[in-house]
Amino acid sequence: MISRRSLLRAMLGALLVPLAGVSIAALPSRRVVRPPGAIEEERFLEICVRCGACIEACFRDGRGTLEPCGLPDGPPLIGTPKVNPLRAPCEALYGKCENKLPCIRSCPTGALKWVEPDEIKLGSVKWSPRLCIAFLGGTCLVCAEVCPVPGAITPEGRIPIFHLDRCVGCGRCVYACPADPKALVLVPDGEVRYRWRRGSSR
Amino acid sequence: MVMRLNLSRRIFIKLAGGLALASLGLGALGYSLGWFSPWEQAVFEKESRNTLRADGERSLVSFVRGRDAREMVRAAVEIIGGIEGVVKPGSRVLIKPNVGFNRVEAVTSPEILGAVIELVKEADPADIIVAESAVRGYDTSSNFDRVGVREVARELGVRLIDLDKEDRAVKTKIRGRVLQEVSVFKQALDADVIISVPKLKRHSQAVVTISLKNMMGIMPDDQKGMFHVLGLDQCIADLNTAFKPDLAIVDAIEVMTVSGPGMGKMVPGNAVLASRDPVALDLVAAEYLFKLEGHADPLRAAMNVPHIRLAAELGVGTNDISRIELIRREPG
Repeated sequence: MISRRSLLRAMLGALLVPLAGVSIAALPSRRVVRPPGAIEEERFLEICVRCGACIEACFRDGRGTLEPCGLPDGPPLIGTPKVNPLRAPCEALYGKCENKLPCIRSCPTGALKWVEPDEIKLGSVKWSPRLCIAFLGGTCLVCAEVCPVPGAITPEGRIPIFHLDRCVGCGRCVYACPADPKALVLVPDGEVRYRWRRGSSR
Repeated sequence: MVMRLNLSRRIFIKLAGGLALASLGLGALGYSLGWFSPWEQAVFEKESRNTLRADGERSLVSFVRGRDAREMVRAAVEIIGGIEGVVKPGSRVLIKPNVGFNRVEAVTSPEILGAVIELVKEADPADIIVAESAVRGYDTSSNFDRVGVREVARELGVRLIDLDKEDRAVKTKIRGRVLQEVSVFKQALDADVIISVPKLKRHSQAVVTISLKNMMGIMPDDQKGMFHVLGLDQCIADLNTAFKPDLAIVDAIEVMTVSGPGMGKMVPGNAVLASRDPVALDLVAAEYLFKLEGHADPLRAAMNVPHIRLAAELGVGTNDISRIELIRREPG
């Protein structure tokens, strides 16, 4: 015979456990830059089992760029992979992982799905002119120098111009930026809304 | 005979105090003059190497045109006095190609590099290494694979070193205008002979990148970044006061013009240049690059390249054309 107390506990539990699951997913989280081939974010969070296989694969051949999300990224994201260009740029395009994509190949669940090279876009770069050595009058165009995508960063005189429609978000420019703090950050696609145009002051 | 000093307590204390003050003062003076520095132990000293010859003598630069990479390299080095003049038997040689990028057009061609390695081998050195630390954001090892440098090194049996994986950077004192200390990889410090084998390219920040700029590849990534913060041109000149190449051989077979160093308009140059004076060599090579671009006054443009001028001011080499002897060899 179930006592009244245990029945109440069970009812409460049955109510609370799914609620906890739902509430963690509802906690605020940042948008992070996902590895190449990541499916749409909402689905990604459901399917990714946080096994870390892609991160391991990323580091198999020297330096890697992937790392697990931590608490600052938001509780629902903990353990999922993100691209950190401060560790190393992503080599999926114009690099050692070209046409190999070990991160995607290692994914056991399909949260990362095979993509053709011309469909890879991890994110785009966000420029802060007030931290930029070139913008402040120094001799620097390192970002334009290291950018492997034709026409994504073009020098206009001494200042780099970013063409976000071309940018694939490999993070080479972010890694190489010599300013401290860096004048460039890699952000998820669609997060930069400004477009630097010829002759515009904004 | 024993001399007895009759010191009262007061006089003794005064004397002792005076002595203590004097030694303190002497210590402070010594410290300010740099007699003993607490950091001395950790830092390597690198003497400025000014190999500019006595007045009257001139810096030899060879300019060889042709088709076969091996023949051109051989002839270019022969003209400036042969490899034996640079590489002594039993010395440790570091060959520094430009493998900063992973695209074939942006790096020293493997044929030229192979020809240089073969030539150096003939001088019977104790050890030859080919070493590079690529442009930041590029994986040096993967660059070696993609542009065919690894294959050449394997065929010729020389050690190929990805400096970024070595992690043996040491701080070195130099006497530059901006840089008093520079962090370089130990391999560069240990080498008896440094041979720079750059590709002739345009550069978005340094105007051109030839043998002086190529020496940036012996430094770790964070030090390279500092150069841009402190002022690239002066830093390149400063670095070369201590780490200048003993011999430089420029790959000008395909020249990257208009823009660079990553992507630019490729123009056939069909030439190899060599010299023991990197400043004179860079001046001549830069002039050739500007000529290929169709510049109205290529020599003036080359003279105006800031890092070449600054390196000349520091005595790394000469940019005085009356003191440069250019020897051309063209086929047929």
